Amino acid sequence: MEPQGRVLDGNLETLGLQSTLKMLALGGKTGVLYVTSGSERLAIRLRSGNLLDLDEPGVPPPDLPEMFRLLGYVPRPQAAELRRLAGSSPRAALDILVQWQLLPPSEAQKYLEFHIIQSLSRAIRWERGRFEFQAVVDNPHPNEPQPLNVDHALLEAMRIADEWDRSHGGLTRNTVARWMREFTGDVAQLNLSQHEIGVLCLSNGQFPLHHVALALLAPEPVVAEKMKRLLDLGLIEVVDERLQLDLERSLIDLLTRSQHQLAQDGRANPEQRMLTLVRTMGTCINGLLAHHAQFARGLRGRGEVAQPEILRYLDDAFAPLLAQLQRDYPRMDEVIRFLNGQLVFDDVLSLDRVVRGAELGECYWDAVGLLSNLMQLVFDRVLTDEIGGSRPGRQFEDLWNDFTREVEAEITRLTHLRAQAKVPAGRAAARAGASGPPDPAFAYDVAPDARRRFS
Amino acid sequence: MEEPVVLVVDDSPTVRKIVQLTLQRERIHVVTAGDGLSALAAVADEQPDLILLDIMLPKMDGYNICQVVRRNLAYRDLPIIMLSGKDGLFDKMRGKLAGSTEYMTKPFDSAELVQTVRRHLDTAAVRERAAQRAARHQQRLWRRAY
Repeated sequence: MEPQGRVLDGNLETLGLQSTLKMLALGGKTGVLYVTSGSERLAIRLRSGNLLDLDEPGVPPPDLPEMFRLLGYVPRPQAAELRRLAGSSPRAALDILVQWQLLPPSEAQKYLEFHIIQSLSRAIRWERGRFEFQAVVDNPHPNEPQPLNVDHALLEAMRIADEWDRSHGGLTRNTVARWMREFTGDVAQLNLSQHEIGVLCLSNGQFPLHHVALALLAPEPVVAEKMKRLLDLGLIEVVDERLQLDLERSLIDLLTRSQHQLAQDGRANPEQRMLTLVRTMGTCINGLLAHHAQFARGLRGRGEVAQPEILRYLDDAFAPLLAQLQRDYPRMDEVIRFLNGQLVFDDVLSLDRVVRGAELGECYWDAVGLLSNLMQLVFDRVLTDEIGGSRPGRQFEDLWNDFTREVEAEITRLTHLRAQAKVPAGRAAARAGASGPPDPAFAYDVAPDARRRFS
Repeated sequence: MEEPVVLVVDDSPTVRKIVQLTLQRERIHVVTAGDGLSALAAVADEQPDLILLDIMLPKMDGYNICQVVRRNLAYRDLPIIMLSGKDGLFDKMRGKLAGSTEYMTKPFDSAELVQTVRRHLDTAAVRERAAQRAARHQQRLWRRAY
């Protein structure tokens, strides 16, 4: 389409979108109608008075490849390929699915029509704003969708808009739902309808309600109804997007800081590196605790909670985990403790004032062991409580696994360094004969392997 | 509109995943590389709109990558943001001399990262590159169809 110039413009207060579209349809116009209302915008392409396409600038397009994958329409590898080829364009995704013969052209046409009607149903309620129609010279492309009759689209859009006027329990077209973290019942016994099953599948991807409606080709008010039933059944929960964003940012920033701290002192000696690990993991645990004090499910939605109550909550949730681990690492009893909702590990950093030699290395090693286990337990607990097995939950688990792999790699490096350091010490002790006591560290760690090697 | 493409080069898988998660939420497509040579291959294959580049990398360091990329006329305007734990004036100067557009110090804040990336993506050169890529992509689709 090549622009020809502005033909018509005006205010929505004087001429509503519905009337403007009908007028352009009657005139058999070809061009683009731009509509703005506040921050919302629409660009509607018309050909000979029929609707050809619609674009919502600034509105994230639906992630059709992922939604089709979750609904089982497209297998996982093909969904990834589809996403790679189509990018964020739903039109391109539908074209490719038709080419792959996974979707009949008539079905693809339905999605495009549904998308136009859905967006119109929102826009025909705009009372203030401006419109501008620009005529263009049309160059039809062989692959373009069939144009849609304006009267039919407006009627459908008005029906959807009317249905939205009825109460839907506070759900809006932008509501995002996700699976409840723990559901103990049997979903098969709930007699869910096909649409309810579809909504439930898509709730795992955390898409806004209007994207779910498009994927299921179901009117938004119908999807809202299904969502409400699933909410009542305790299968899904509504996500507070602002809280979710803050929560995710807080976790990402915490992991960025922890990874940075871990990457320091790369060339230091083993003892300093163990201390770096202790500092990294201790600080990370405290960061997780501080984060949880802000986002714990039990503390949410209660306004400002008193500090002693938050501390009591953290103590109850995490102190038993530390106590349990201290049974496996008795040297760390009292050295690492839980106080006022935070982990106190400063004593590990100053252990060199009271312990020396091989014993000091063993103490540091125990601290590393205890803290790596505790860090994992705390993270699991925090994530399960805050976002459960939802999609962001799984993404964070992946991220966490990468971070813990880096921690484990550092621990493995340290294990090798310790073993190398002990072997010469052990040989020296062997050369000195039976006169002195054996090095406890050598006897404890390296001797079993060495014995196997020499036997 | 086509999603902008950002190449993240860092030897730490955690940093790569963090940046990927942060930018994907902003509808930015992220490709990653873990060492210098893979980074150069990714620049040629993916033609990114922006590069986030760590300095300490296996096989080839960030300064060298930056110089090699800048030598190619096609990438003269490509924004390259150095991401490094080194915050000394000397390191920043060295990054500037190698041709980096901006220097960010680790640990970075996710909001700051998004803001910086957005600022550099919102330039005429980047928009033009994205439009060219979208046109190429569309042509490929038509060719597949007919």
